[in-house]
Amino acid sequence: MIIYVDDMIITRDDTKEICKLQKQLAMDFEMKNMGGLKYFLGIEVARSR
Amino acid sequence: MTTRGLSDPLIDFAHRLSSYHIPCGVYEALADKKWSLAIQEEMEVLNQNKTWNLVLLLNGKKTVGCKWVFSIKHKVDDSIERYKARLVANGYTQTYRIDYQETFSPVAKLNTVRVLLSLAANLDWLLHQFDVKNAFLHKDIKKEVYMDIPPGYMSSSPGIVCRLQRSLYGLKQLPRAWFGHFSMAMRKYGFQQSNSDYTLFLK
Repeated sequence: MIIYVDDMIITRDDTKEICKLQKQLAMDFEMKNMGGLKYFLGIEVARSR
Repeated sequence: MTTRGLSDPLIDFAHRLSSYHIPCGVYEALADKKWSLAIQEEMEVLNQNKTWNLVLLLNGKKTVGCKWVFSIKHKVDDSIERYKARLVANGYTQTYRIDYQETFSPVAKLNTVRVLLSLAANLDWLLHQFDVKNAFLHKDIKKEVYMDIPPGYMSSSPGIVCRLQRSLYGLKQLPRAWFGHFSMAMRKYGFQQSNSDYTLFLK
């Protein structure tokens, strides 16, 4: 998990852990799920799989 | 602005951007329905969060100014998503030691981001992106900070100002307060903060 002010990316081998963190964060903060990573700090991300 | 040297689609984009009008001041904005709605929306959020109390300013205390910043949010296809008004405090009128102390706040190193992306690509991990809405409004402030009544609004009697209960965009101490608050939450969830990049949390 890395954060840049209020933008963050999360990477993990299983979805459950991501969901868990998302739920925890939602309890303390008002979160917006942007889904799969597309842009972060000017880097465009495209995945072939 | 010159558009020479840009590709045609970019020139087109630049022209469309500059054709949208953004109000120069609050009175111009209030005269326009879509912008005055945006102001109302922002005021509602600020009130919901109990961002300030109205108090009588005591002798010897100073206020921080504030202003409205207007922007147009675009969708990916360039159409207008919404009109946005944000109230910001004029942090440059704050005085060190009186209104604020520490201000440093780390941001992610680009190298760390690259390592993370590379890891995800090589190990075929999922990558998810989130953002925190109104991140800066979440944090209570420790110092006594007084702010002028937002432009376009009027107080019921003279000498009334806003005593800030929560951080507002533009305050000096804000990024640091937010980061401290966020990292505390992450540690609570059982994450460890990396020593080489404080914005990296591991579990």
